[in-house]
Amino acid sequence: MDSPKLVVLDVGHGNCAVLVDGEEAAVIDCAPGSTLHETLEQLQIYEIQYVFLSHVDRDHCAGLTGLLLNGIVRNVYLNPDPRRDSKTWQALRIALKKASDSFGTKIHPRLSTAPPLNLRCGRVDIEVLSPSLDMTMSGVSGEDLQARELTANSMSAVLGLTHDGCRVALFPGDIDEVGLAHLLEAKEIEAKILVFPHHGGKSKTIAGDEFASQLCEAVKPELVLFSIGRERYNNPREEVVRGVKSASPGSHVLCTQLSRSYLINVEVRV
Amino acid sequence: MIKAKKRIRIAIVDDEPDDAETAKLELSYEGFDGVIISGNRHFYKPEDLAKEIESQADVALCDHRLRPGGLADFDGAELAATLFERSIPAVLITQYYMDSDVSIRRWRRKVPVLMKRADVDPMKVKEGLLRCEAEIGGLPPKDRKPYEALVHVDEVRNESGEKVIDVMVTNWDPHQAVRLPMSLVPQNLHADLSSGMWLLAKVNVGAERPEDLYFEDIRLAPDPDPHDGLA
Repeated sequence: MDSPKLVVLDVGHGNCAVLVDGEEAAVIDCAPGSTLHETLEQLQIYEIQYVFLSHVDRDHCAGLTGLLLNGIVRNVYLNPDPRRDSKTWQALRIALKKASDSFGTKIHPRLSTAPPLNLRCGRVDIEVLSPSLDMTMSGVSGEDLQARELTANSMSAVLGLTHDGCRVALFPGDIDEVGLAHLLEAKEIEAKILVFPHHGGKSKTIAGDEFASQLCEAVKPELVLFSIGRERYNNPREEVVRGVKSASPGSHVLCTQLSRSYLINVEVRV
Repeated sequence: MIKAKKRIRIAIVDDEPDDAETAKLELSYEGFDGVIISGNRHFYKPEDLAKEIESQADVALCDHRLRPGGLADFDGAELAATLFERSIPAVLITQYYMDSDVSIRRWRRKVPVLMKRADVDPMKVKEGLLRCEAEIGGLPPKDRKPYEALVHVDEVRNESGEKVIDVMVTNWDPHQAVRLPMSLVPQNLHADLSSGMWLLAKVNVGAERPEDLYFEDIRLAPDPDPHDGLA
């Protein structure tokens, strides 16, 4: 039997990854455009068991509407964002309703560490490492117990993929320093592959190299992937790469805009 | 077909004879035998001109504005779409890029390639014709495949005597508005269509440029569920 496959797509400035094992498939974040549709066609995926949205910024969620309207998604996991009023968010809610009514798609408006989801896609365990229950109770624009503001980025759902006892990949969405502080307090987050949060962009309150080194010291990645575009933003920022290399000097760094899409065979330990 | 041929007969449809002659000369360097169809005749229907092209050429290069020089009572985009229906590859060119919003968008589903006149060179025309041929053969490139999309109506307005709608396609680029002619929207929706409404449509969300978007199968979208627990 083929080993599970993980494809980190080149979607420009955004995030999207597809996990497939046998008949089961999961998608983590859905950037806009047609790259995800094309990839699903190439991988001959006609049904997606799980879609996870780390948060509902457009570069992570706008591409889900097309999948929902096609009726190929069985379950969607996301966290509500009550203050959001963008057209992308409205479109997503319309598409969620249509998919639920027309195709029986199940909408799970909660994606947090407790209670544990215990989800599997084929032979791969999908684990939610953040946000914690107390963060989700405050919600986006609320404050944590240390009175730190919780932004949509702080509240990014962090997912880990584990195969055969090894955490192969960590997807931290756009997690910021507040979210990272919570994550580090609560969890062991080592993983072979780190899809670097926020595309290697600026941190809000701490230096980029400090954020990157804190994260990489905890993850101990062998491969760090930056999902970035070719225009507009100048990511990954130099100080972020410096932080990555200081904390994980032996790690490899890949950028999607150079490699187009990155496919790994999950069974092969990188 | 195009790749296999040593010489390709290309109809150059342009109401400006000088422009047509220039194109013919340039295209000859890339293996094209140009057949000029210019302002010395007049065509009332795109089907008539398409038949004329079919009898003389394998492919076509069509200027969009054919009316000013008296060549036709229709636009080049409609001609290119008619040729597409007859399985004849055609590249549409224009120097009036503002036309891409309305008079070209109306036919864009069947116009695979639009080029600025200033960008036209024989190699690009050949590449464009190959793209057309692939799409006619059922193998559209990724930027031409239609996918379901939600379309937000930003504004309904009259422009130069024609009703148009300005829209946002969130799963293409929610930061870029696009204009399309109201004629693409089914007649039964016209009276009630207003800003703030949502439509469903099939859109080629892989397109990189707004002028390359096409819309088909436009329908009214359902409202979001106020009790979905997400807002």
